[in-house]
Amino acid sequence: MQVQLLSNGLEVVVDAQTFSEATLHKCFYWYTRDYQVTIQPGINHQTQVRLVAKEHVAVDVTALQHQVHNDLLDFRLRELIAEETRPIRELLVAKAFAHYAPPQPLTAPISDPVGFHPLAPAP
Amino acid sequence: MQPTLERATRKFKDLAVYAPAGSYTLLPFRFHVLTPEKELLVSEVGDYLLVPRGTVARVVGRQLTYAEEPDLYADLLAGFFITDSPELPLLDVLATRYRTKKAFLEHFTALHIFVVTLRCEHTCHYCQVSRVTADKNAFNMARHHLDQGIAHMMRSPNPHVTMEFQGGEALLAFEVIQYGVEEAERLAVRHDKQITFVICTNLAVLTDEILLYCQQHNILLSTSLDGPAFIHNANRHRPKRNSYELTIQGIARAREVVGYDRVSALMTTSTLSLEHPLAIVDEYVAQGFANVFLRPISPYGFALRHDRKNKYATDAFLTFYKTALAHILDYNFRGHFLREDYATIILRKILTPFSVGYVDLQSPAGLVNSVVVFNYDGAVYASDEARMLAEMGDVTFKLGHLDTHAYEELFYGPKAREIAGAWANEALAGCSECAFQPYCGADPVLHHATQGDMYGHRPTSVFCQKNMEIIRYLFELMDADPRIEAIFRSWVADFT
Ligand code: SF4
Repeated sequence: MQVQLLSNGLEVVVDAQTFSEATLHKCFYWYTRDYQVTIQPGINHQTQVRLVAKEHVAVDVTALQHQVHNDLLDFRLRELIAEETRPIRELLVAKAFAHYAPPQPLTAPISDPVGFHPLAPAP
Repeated sequence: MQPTLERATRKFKDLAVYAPAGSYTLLPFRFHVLTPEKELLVSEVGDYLLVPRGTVARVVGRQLTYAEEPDLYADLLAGFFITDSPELPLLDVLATRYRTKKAFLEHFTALHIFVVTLRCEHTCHYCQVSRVTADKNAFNMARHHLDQGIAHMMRSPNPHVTMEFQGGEALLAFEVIQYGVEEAERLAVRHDKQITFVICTNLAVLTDEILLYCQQHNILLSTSLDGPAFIHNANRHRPKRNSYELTIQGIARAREVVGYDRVSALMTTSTLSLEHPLAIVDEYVAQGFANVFLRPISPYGFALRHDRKNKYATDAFLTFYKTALAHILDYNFRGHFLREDYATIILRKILTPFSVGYVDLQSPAGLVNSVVVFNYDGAVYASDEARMLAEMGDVTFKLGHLDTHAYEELFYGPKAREIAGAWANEALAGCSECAFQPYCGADPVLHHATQGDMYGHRPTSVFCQKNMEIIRYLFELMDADPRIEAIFRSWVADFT
């Protein structure tokens, strides 16, 4: 990860094989309140991310650099967990709601030879 | 040579026999950095584990072994963060727990709000909806609209419904309420429904006849108390500036006739309230309440689409909230049971396995799923806030009209389906990765009102800013002081 400090933000270049596009978007989504965020895929799997502070924001670039570093690692971990557990999660939710399907009305006529159902035609 | 026979024994085998064999499988979980030293893991069903910062990286990197860290390993297994069995034998248990957490969806709409009149004798500065008029019948709900609303309520698949009467000042249309209660009681027998009746009122026009009627029909009274007189009267304008006095007298009379616990109070936070968190809490204690609901300052009607102003208002609310919560905890430390309702809703989600459907903090959101509003003029809205927006000229969340739309069109129609696109936080940007997702919710109406879009932008959302900090803070408090965790557990102990 290469970092270049700007007067009102910073620029990082990351390896796209380590930090997927999804990870970068999820991570820097949270910076969009205070920064103008640009994510630019480049050659040799190098993606450039540029954060430029919006007018009202006072930037401490050292703290920002630290924050970006931690967040990138955390969001990569989140992606690893999500990817690895996706099938289990899908199964879990499917199983949880498997019985929520509304009862399907029977289309075939039901026979009631013993006569349990008061409205069924007599056997 | 004779084989040695091992004697059968019922004693526990050596711990090493049960030790898992090295590798484990991750189960779905999310994490949040709670403080620079701690991170919080939250499973898909809301179980949590607080661990030192860096633990998640070690768990994911398979650097954890039972032999070296048996306690942490056992906690991760027990909390469904990892499993060491390749067959996932507990998937059914997890699925049942997930389903239990979402059980509030099972019965569909419970809360049916009937706006029986828009008339009010107060002119509160933050109220967008009320009208002051001498014409007694102007802005009252018509009988045929009441009938149609009740018919829709009877069609709800939910066997337990709440019929809540709101205004304006609902008691100014007491004869409309009486008709509604009696008609609903009559039809409930036929439709096998249990109905809880609630009247939201400022109590200013309360009479003995009204109280007797409420007692006879088991009606709950929900009133507004913003704090001591100087706050309440400043917020709630009335010709003689005596709103506070009337409310306090009303609470006392109502408790006497209807029952002590059948009268509740809610506060609305104004800019003035933000300066007086302690006085507000003390007022609730002085009036004999065992709970206070510290409700956020409403963005409806003032800042609305102004991200920075909204953020400052939310920052100020959070400071107010934390100060008031500390004061409430002080009461509890001194042996006086006092509960904060918003924290309690979140703590129920954190500390119990049960389903907590609270219309303003659930996913899928409460709109349509849990609440619907029948307005005085027959219009049907997806929530109370949706109605307020409509009074300000924005009918985005109008589901239809009682005169023209059938039940299916209102509850499953195109508008409900449009809202459904933004009502599950599991599928919202930002929330989908957030560890607090099982404790939080989605609020398409608030996001539409403040950001011009139901889906919302979490980094600038007041809903997210408020909930993320309150949830984080509750965990921080529990971690910092075991006495606080014990108090929080006492707040949710009666919840099953
Ligand atoms: S609104 Fe914010 S706190 Fe709530 S789940 Fe979404 S991201 Fe998390």
